[in-house]
Amino acid sequence: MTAITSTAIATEPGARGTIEAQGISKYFARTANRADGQPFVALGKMDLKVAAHEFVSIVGPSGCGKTTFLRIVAGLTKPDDGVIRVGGDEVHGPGRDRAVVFQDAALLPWLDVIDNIAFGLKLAGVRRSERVERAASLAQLVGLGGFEKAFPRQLSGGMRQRAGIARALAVDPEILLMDEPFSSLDEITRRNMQDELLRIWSASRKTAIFVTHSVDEAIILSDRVIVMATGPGRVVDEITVDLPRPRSVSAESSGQFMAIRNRIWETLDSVRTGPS
Amino acid sequence: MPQTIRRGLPTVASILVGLVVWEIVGRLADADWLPPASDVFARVGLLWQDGLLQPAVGASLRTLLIGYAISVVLGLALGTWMGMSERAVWAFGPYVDAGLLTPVVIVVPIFLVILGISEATLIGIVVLFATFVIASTTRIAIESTDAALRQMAISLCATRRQILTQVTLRDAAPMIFSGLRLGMSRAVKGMIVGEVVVTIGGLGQLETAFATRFDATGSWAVTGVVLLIALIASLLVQAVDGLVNAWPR
Repeated sequence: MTAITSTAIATEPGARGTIEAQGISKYFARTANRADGQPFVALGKMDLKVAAHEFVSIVGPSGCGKTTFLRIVAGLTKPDDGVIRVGGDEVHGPGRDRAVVFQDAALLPWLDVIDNIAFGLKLAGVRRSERVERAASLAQLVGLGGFEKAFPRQLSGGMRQRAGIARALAVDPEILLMDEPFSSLDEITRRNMQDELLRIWSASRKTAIFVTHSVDEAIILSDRVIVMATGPGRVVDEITVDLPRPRSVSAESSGQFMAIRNRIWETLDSVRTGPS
Repeated sequence: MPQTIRRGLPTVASILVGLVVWEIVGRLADADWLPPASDVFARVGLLWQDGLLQPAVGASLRTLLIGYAISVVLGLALGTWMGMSERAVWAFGPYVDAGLLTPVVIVVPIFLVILGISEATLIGIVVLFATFVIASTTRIAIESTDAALRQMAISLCATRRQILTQVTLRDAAPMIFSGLRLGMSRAVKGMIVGEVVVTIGGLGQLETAFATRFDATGSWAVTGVVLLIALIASLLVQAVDGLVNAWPR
């Protein structure tokens, strides 16, 4: 039986690992191609709650503000209106309770895999022996065993993203924020990485927000899919994914998966008014 | 055969061919202004035996090293500041541009008036020659660094100092070293220009002495030593570059 629910997700306010966004708005200054003089509204009064240990994906067209929202949660961008609370505390900047996995991995090209994974620990002042030990164990966890001394230039795109994920995990955050981390990977590598991410996430069950352009990827990975639209950037649907984990390839051909996918596409089609 | 030696073979071969051509042309031309290479090498040996070369080389190296060290500190500091602050670009950019575009020789008399005929003048000239190219290249290097890497560091709660030292400067290092190599070549030029003008010692003064006597072999001998110093200095900067930036690029 197909089970699709649109929910107002209940979170225990202030619990560790929870995220609560209230009335988040973000404007960008007028650009040359906007003759009306009005600022571009990247996000318009967006509300969202994410429970601890929940895996939430955000899908939507380009320009809907999903990456902007992720950056606001990360503390890399300040909202113009509204409040973000993480674990009950208002976000004023980056914090050790959150870690970001970037679209292009953002590895430091002059450091090998171990030192890249350990970079956040180094910044935090952790002793070298301790951080190398932790980084080595994370390299194993993300499948980079044997590549500890390799430099980013010597790794494939998928391997670089594994290192990026390991670096985020190394600082032991409560929340993982992932900004289209698999967007530049080929389809086969992408599928492998999705499986790997779910395996890694299952081991830690950290709260996760995953921004993606891929509807299927969002369904495969998530407990809940947030659908966003442009003009202004806003949430237009929330869909709980009740598919059992681990989600194999066969799950994608199930009626439940198809129904969720159809609903997301119908929502996206119905609000397709903004820039593509 | 080690890769470094294998890669250096064409350079060595080219130099040897050049020397052989020089020797043949020098003998065939039989002109005062172009002595054969063997005569020039012999003169270098004589200058060494007579004890004329050592103090000149020592004085020149001292001027070069002190002047270059000051240039590196000033150039890196100014370039880093300008690379990170638009206000600093507005404040110092015109001076750096002027320092790059203006022939430095024209301000040498001003140095002589201020500092007199002294080692300080020689060092000042080297600093003037080398600082601006180092500052300018460092600024461009800093401005060209990957913003995504800084964002990554910020997301991991890096302090401003950590971002500068562990991300920005490291990312900019390869291009900064290009500037340091250019700065070294300009410092050598400054060293010789200063010594030719101020004539209180060093290879420049030796060169001037030979030139006034129309001793082409002596002039070529000093020129060869200067070239050797420039080459070794550049290789040293390159070696440090290789140590600092030893990652696959």
